[in-house]
Amino acid sequence: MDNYTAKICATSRASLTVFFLLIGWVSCADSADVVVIVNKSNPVTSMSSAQVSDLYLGRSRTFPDGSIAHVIDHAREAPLREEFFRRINGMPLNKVNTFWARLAVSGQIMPPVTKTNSGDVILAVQEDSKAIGYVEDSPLIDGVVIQVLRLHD
Amino acid sequence: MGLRYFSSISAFLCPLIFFSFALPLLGPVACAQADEEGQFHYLAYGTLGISHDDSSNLAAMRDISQRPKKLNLMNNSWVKDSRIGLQASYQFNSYMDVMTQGVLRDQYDTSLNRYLDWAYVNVHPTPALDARLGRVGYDVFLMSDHRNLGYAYPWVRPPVEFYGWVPVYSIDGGDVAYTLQNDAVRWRFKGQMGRTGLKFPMGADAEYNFKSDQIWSISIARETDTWRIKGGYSQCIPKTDAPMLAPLQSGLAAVSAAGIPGVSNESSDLLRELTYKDVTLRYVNLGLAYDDGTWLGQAELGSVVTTADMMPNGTMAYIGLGRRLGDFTPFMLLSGIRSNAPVRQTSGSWAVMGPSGPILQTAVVKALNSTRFDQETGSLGVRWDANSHVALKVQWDSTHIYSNGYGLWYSDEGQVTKNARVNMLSATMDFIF
Repeated sequence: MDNYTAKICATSRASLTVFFLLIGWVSCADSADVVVIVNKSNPVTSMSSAQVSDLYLGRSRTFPDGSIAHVIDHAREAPLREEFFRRINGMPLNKVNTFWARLAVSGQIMPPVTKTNSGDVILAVQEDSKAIGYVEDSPLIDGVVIQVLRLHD
Repeated sequence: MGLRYFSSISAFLCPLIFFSFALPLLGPVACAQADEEGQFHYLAYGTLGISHDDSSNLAAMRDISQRPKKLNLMNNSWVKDSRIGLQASYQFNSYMDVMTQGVLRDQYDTSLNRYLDWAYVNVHPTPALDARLGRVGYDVFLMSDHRNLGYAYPWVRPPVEFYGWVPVYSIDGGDVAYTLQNDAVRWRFKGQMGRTGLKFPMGADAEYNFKSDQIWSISIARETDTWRIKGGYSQCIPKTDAPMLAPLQSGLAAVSAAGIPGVSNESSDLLRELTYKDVTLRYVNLGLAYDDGTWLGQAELGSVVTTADMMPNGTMAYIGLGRRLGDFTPFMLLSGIRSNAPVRQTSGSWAVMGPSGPILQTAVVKALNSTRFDQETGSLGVRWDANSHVALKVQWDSTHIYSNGYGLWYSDEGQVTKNARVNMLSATMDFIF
């Protein structure tokens, strides 16, 4: 990554973060749809709730086409994470945390990379052709990443 | 021999440990790479716990690798359940990672080597295949590879009747796991092989330096969103014996060679049972766990068969049930173990060997009965998930121990031939960061 690209990325990251905070994107997790996103170059265009759930529970490491997936998650206590798991498989956050603690400590699978906000998740998905993440629905993601699943309340 | 054994392990493990913990010190170089492919992961977890029991002549253990201080002053113990674990791993790419994990916990064997639970290289050439080489977690029971992580289960500690007498946490060798995903069902087949070693206390001033070059296991697990079923088989053959048994074995050999009808035959039988060396241990286990987000349950049934009764054996089981009520999870737990070995009795016939005959017989019988387990526990408790990183638990246990079944306790001399009931109250704070 050259200096110019790094500067552009850093500026974009800061701008997205500030924007999301200003419009309260992070805080309105109760009502908005949650969308699962992948990189624009990913040939996968749609996924089922079960396929996404398997990735986020460490039961699968690949997209439906068999290619490796890099799972990006939010912080353990993030409200959006709680909402995501409630909608995708009905698991309460304390069960998810217990589940992942067991997997991580037993060494069965590496835990997902975590990002502190949705802006960082989008940027990470933009930068990694194998990445998958989830954010709240927003016009900002149109054309930037591919939505593979929409989770309604 | 022992030095060479641990030296060879250290030669392999030390670079791994160094690699995992030292790479972050490279700073910008390593971090820059992490953006592209590599990724560091760190994890700290632990338990701060205290327990209090109402027995004045018994001291409880979490597992038999511990040796309680002289019957626990005031019957309180801070060290039994308290522990702290640190895990560092580096993921090179989607196909390879390294991991090290150390756990500081109360155990008799305080050599640095014993606090290192894992240090291995994990290679997964395909998404379904994992091959690990190094020090890997012993994995045959449902909770084998995460029993130090109190945050992962509702109760204060894994049921002592089931896990308390299998203190093998890791093996030096490797394992291979294959995962098969079929719609909502995930199958995992795993095999392990290697060697292990651990010092056990035997009474007040003796120990058994257990070592085995032949420990292996196979397991099959089936997982869905709510169910987890695991069956396993493991086998182990120790290559060492306990020095404190040597005089008894010599005495039994002499009596066996004397050719005294009735006595020599019994002595030969006892000699076959009074050993750890080259004894074959076979573990068979079936576990079942359920968690639908509200209700959770877990049960395991296992049996350990050994070719000599000095090596602990028995049939053990437990069942636990809990219900999440918001951040609180009240639970109950029932567990028990019955030794497969018969209770040995002395007879007067050894008096024909002179005064030392009955003394030898009594000592041998006492030694064989000392490793028997025969007890059951009922527990009630509640877990409170205070936040995403901390869980607080309170648990009350009532344990009934039967005569000559005190293998999971330190006790006064005269206690072992009586039944006893011990009540214990425990409180823990489990955390993970």
